[in-house]
Amino acid sequence: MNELTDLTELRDLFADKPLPTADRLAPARTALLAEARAKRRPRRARVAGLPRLLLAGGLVAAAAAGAVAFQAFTPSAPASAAEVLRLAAKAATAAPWPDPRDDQYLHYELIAYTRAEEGVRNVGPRHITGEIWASVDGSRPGLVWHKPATSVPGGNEYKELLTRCPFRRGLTYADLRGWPRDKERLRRKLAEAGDEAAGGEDAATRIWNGAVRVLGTPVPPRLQAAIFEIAATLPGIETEELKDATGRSGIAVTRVDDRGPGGTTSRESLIFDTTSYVLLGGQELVPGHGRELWSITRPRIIDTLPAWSASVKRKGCA
Amino acid sequence: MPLSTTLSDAALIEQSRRDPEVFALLFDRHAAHIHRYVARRLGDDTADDVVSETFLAAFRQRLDYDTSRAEALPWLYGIATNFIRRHRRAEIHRYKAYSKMGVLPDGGDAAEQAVERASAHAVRRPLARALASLKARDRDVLLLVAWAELTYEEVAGALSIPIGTVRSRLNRARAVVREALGSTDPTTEQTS
Repeated sequence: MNELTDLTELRDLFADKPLPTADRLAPARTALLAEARAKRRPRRARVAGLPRLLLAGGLVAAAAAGAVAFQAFTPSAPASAAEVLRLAAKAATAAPWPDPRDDQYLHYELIAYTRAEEGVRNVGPRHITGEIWASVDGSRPGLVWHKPATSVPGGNEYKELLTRCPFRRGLTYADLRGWPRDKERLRRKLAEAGDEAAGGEDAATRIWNGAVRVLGTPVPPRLQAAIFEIAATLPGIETEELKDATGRSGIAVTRVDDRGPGGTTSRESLIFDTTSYVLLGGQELVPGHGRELWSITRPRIIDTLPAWSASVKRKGCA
Repeated sequence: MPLSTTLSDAALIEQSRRDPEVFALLFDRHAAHIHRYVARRLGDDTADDVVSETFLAAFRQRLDYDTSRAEALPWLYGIATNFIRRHRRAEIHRYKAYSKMGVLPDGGDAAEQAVERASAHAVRRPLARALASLKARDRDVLLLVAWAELTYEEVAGALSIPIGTVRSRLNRARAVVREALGSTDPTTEQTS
């Protein structure tokens, strides 16, 4: 027996198993297409952290109550969109949190939901309320505690440990910490992140998409400030008053593009506290289709996962 | 020319981020191979479920796919492997049954099984027994190499493990297989 005989013999084992017929594969293909079609409206290719969580499993679909305010900009709201972003940049560095170690975790709360407008099929409302523990450098499993939303009676609860999947380039806090401080290089990094999320857009749109995507998870305060300053220079931004996913009123900076279904208008917003200018969350609105809202609250740095996580099922990857 | 023949896997995935239904082309390209691989490990019926779960999971992860990797097949095998692990006991039972009976418990009709039993010569049964005895993670690596025909680097990417770990798991698994074969064919054994 030469050295490869074992592999040769093994390759022959059950090798007469034929490829499946198209009929055999049809149900799986149908299930895939059904999900793909459900994702067509409203389109949201941005905020990587949010869709990842939304898609992590167990989404609650139910009749979420509570209207989301969408009001036009009023004269009493502060100044220009660029000024709001510059104030937000100052706020980000005014009360920075300490730099976490690679072996620590960022723990925060996330509230998000997607709502289709009346008559639009296959989109939510989907509501998620949860706590996230994210490994700073991604070397340790993260933890998700998905809690039933108060607006979804009887919603399910689950907890799961998530390791990083192969072939994924999800950004960790440690990755973001290493991002350039030079504005031109940072613009390029944001454009790359925006291109991964949507692609094929003009430079300003890619930078905005990248900024919103990155800001969907906790970001080092100095980087957050630098991103706001870059966003302030982008064309096409405007202010409006919006409520975030928790119902708090805020001042939003919105950029309009044509990324909605069939090239329709999409309004992508970052929402800030009206007095402190701290980032509250964001919204994407596709008029005629629906909206998605998200808020991150109470970010803090901790050393270990809670003790109860030892009994939580570990997923292969996510 | 249709998209399915002109675009790389990575390009299809990238396009599917804007047009989700394009992901079905990736299914058309790879589902049969994934199904056959899973069916060799778990049988056709379970393979039906695993393939469905694999592509739904892949679709949900498409935003994070590293599009610098043109070939998505290793990524899909990695996802499928995660789902296969949920059926570990059934897989072991299947191999043990084959090693004892010379046929698979989910095999075809009686006539086919009789032919199969006759052809299940002295090598295949010990092989199946060896597969049943492997640690799950070693078996995953061995079968991704032998049946899915992935390279070591692709297996490392698929399972998110270092390539050195691929080599060590493969060596360990092959040693078990060689030992099983050696019991039926006492010829020389070489190291690799």
